[in-house]
Amino acid sequence: MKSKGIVLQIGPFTVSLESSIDSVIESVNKLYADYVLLEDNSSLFIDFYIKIDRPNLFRGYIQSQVQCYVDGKTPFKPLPLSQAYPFFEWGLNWIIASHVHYYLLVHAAVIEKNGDVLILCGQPGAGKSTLCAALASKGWRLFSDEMAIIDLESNELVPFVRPVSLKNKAINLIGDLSSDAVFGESYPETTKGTLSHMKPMKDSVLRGNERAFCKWVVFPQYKPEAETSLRSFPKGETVIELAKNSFNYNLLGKQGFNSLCNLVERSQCYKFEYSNLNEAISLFDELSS
Amino acid sequence: MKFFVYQEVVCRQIGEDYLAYSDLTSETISLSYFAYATLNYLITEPMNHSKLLALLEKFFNEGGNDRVSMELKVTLNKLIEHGVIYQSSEVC
Amino acid sequence: MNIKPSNLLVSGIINPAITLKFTLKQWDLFIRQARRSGVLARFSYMLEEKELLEKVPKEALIHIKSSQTYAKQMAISLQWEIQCIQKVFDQLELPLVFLKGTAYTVAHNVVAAGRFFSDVDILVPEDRIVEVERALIHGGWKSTHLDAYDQRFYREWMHEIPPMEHVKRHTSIDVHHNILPKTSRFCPNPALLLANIVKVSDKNAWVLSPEDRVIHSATHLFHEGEFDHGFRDLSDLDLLLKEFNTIELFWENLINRAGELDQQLPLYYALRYTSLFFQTPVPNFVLSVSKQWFPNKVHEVSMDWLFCRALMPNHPSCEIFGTGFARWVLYIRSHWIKMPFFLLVPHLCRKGWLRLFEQEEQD
Repeated sequence: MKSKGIVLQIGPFTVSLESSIDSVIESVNKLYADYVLLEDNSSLFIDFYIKIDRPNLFRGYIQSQVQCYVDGKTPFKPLPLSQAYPFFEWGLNWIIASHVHYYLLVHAAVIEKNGDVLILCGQPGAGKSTLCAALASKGWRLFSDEMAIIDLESNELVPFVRPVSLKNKAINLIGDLSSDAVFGESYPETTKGTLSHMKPMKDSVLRGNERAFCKWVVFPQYKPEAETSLRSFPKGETVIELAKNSFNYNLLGKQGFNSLCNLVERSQCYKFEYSNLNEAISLFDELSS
Repeated sequence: MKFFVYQEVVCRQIGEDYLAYSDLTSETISLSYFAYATLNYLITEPMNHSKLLALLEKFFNEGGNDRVSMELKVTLNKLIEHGVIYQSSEVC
Repeated sequence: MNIKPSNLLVSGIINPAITLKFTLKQWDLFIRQARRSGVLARFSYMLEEKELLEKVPKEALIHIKSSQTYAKQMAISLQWEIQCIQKVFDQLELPLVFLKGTAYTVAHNVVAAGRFFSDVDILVPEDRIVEVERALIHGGWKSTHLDAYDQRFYREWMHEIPPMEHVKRHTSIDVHHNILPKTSRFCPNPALLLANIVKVSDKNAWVLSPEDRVIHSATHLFHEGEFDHGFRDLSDLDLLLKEFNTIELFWENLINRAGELDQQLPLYYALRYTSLFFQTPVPNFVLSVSKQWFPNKVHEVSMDWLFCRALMPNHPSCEIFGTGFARWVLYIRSHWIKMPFFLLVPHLCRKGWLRLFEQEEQD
């Protein structure tokens, strides 16, 4: 089958995606509809090349598998063909986390309002993506649902706007919350359950070059029937927690340490517990006003 | 024998907390105020155990000198283990 | 700049200044070839040395500097690792002899700048291996490869015990008692290597002599079956030879030493292919002598065909017709020269069997 290629500017990175699998190209065309497509020529420098394709005759057709190739090689085990598009998103996360050491990268959701950035950092299942998607569909500008990119010189957060990945109940929750929310396909039976992607709001995509400084670092934890509560969290522990959630902190030496400390020093730091998404949104709206 | 701070180490106050970072181990360590004071003395000037103890006893005199001596021992061991300081007989 | 895409990286390594004439697209491909080959950080230091780093277009420069950041941090972490191992050896009264990448670092060889390492390699006398292993376990390392076959494979046939991993730092150490497996056809006498070691610090840090460092690098590359880092390893040899070229009688000692250690063939290959790929300034008399170690013209042509493909950067844009086949043939050859037939066949069958029935897990 013939491969199709797309070159996109996703945040600060120019990315080339090639695939002969129709569902991948269709999903990207839908979820990245507001992005500018770039033309590949001799004066375009592409940062990363990803190919999503069937691995070989046996695995590709008989076993119905798909593989993600980063510049011709793969560090991954193949996945079921039905997960071809999510494989692109996971592959992109991997390649950025492995090669980008000119920014400090933290596994966190990032959103912005009135020029102030909110970083939501937590373990899988803590509810940060759901909260991020909810706020992004209620007037907050999405920077990223997965990766905080911190400029080591200026300490600003750099937008890295991409479709927001939501799992299981969160998909319906966000769908109910916002009639404007547009979703891609649903992928049942991934290792994380059912997965789907929410298209980023057009405003977030168009303002993808606008950086901002952090004002709040919050560690959310979704807990069924919990009272909505925001408690101050010590700054020293905040630095240590963010460092633990960083992809490349241990490679950036003193510059990474100072960057993280500067960011936390300028921010208010909290632990946040919630069970009601609407109450959570109100709380953060109030915080930002 | 004197205690020296590795050149790959930084420490700072952040909010009401104190942190040290060592490039050698890539570790970020939370410090007590006592440990922060100890480290700052050593950053200013490598020194031997007695001199360090004397300075700290002047500053941390609650609980008596035995307590300060014990806390210094624990602190120095922790800082050595985490690649923050080392002992040497070299003249600096 | 008119260079074939497959030759971008080689041209850039031979003459870094040439890259300043690249289009952005050529830079795009060059960065990927260099990164895949593990020489991007090395290249960054080459540019820095010639004060050309800031002339690189910003799109390419961030990737080059990123690689340098990674390499710098690895070098610092390695210092700590070396200190921790030295602490273990304080109890043993044994010289701590480093090999390969770690050796280049402690000896401050030019080749160390920008080089990545995955583990530390050391050389100890075989009769002290058990003692060293015990001391490392006491110091927080544990053995990996706990499968009974793998344990036997390493301890009976190989030149090293199974790799050890530190339980807290998750760093790896390979403890060697020779530079080639016991089962190899031309296994050198390790006592000769240990007799010529050189102290490189006032602490316990030793390395092989310059000639032995070159021979070890050549032996490792030309006995290996996997060429993922073949281009980088050949570049290592180029840089080592260029640095040691200034040592009095280095070339004469190198030739003699290859004979003493039974490693003439790997050295012949090293000299031949560094000259071909990197124009390494190997003196003519050295090339003439080494050619005598390989008198068969037909064999030479076929090995040239194989190695000129296998040693190219391991990137799809550098592959030409026959690259895959060449790598496969050399893979089989490497096992052939490391193991006698009665061990080789079951070993390859076992490796193939394990790969076929590997459990698949999603990352």
